[in-house]
Amino acid sequence: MAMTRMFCLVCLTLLAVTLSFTGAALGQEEPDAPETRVESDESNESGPSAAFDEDLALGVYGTAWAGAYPGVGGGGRLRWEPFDMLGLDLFAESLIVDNPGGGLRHDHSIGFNLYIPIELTPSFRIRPLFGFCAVFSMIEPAQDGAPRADDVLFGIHGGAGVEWSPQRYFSVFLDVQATGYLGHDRSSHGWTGEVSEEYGTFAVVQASLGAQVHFSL
Amino acid sequence: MNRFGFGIRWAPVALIALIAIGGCSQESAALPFGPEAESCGTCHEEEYAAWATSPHATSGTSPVFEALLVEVEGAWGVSARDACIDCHQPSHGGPDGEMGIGCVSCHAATGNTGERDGRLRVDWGLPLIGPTGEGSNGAHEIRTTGFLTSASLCGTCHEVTGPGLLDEPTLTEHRASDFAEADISCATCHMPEGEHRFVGLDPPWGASEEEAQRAANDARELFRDAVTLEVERVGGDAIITVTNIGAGHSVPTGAAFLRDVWVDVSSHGPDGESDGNPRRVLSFGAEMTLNGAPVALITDADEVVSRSLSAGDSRQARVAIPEGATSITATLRLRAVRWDTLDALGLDARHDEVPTIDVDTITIALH
Repeated sequence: MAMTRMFCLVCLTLLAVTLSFTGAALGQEEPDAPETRVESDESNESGPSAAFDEDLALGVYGTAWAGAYPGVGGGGRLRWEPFDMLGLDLFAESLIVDNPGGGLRHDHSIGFNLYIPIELTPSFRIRPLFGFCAVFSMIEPAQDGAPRADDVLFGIHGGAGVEWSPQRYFSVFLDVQATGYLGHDRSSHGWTGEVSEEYGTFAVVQASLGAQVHFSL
Repeated sequence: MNRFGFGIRWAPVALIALIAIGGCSQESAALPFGPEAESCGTCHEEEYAAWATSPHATSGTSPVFEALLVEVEGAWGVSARDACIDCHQPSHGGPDGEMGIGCVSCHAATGNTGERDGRLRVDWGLPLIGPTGEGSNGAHEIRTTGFLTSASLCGTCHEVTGPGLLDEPTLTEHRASDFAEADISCATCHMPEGEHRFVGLDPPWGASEEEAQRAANDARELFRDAVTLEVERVGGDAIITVTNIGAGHSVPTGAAFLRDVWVDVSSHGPDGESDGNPRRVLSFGAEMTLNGAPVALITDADEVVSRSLSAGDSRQARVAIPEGATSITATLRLRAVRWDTLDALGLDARHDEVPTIDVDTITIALH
């Protein structure tokens, strides 16, 4: 329990520190910001690259895990790009995960990505990213009444994504990331739902393919 | 203001009380007479009577367990003692329930959080679990689950990974045997015709002489179905072979550090007289040593070596036939608790309750 609390605290501190730094950067750049926006808005009207000039985006995607926990699912994310060189995704996703012992395993993640948008062309960009997540992982036992083997995993991930905007306010994306999880080893087979008392680390590679709508408020 | 203030302040208490009342009423609805085995026996007289003399009933009160518990705590500490209690005195029947494995331990078991070390989940607030049937028998509700007849249920306690040097891999042995492949459950051999005596090696501590005799006979028959003894002459030697043909686990299994299973061999001269004391030529109980020297208690040992006979396996001994012998006799014997272990536990007065059972005897003529 103490370890879990400490991990949460570290994650929140890191997020706070990151946002503080970017906030300071914003303070320095703010005088120039209106001019940049005006130019962007002008260019928006002339072509599809306008999507990336919006501050906000809502996306949906299909996603898959490979590695320790193969699984497939979907998710949604809210994006905010307060600065040219930094963006934040808040995401939530659900996956059906392979569970060799039987029973239905479904995992539900919430977390965030911090990323650096690098525009290669007006309609195409790449974005290195990293972030943290918490996964509420549940195993529905195969047999009625058998114990569950639920757990909360904490993950740190890093990877990269590509985005292409074929038209204004719209883009498609592909992200690939590696995630290291801290959690308990579990097994469920027949009437058994076992959660190890020891923490362990697990790794998965995740790929997400989706689309997003860009907008500003 | 005062009126509302009072109401809001007491609302959580009222809520908790309501939840508590709800919880209690659910339990009593499912089990009107309580979870103690004695209560179950009010209606299920035959099952209760059989269970009452079983190793399950005395798992937490047998003299060997009580004496060994003291040794375990002394040698391995309080947490080791608690680990023993998890299986032997799980209190599934509530604080006023039996000290052993009672009715609800199996009939209200919903699963386990690990197939080992007593990690059983029991919920007698739910309808009780029977091998067949759904609905109500008038006194309580019944449901059927596969867990009751699964090896997983038995294996929750009959797979022990500590404390100390305890290692009782009965479920693992079963899963590796042909019995598991053929889906032959533990109850097939240990609960013949659904009888709740749980036939095994353990004696019915404190039972009547008649019941003790019956238990010994049951153990003998169980063993005869499980293990064969063969004797063959090869030149000047006799080959003694013991084969585990019918047990879905090793023999002995479980607390093999307590068990004594062995073969005695003796030969006879032309006048029919024995040539002396029988010689032990094969032993199957676990071997316990301290610095290489044999000890009688697992808590005194620094090494425990299994000598159990795996399912399907054979073990042989070659015995030189004494000159002039006209016959040779081999006897497969067992004791639930080693003689020296009883002595070491200060239970020498209980030797009579732990009979030496002759499982099989074979004599071959040598001329």
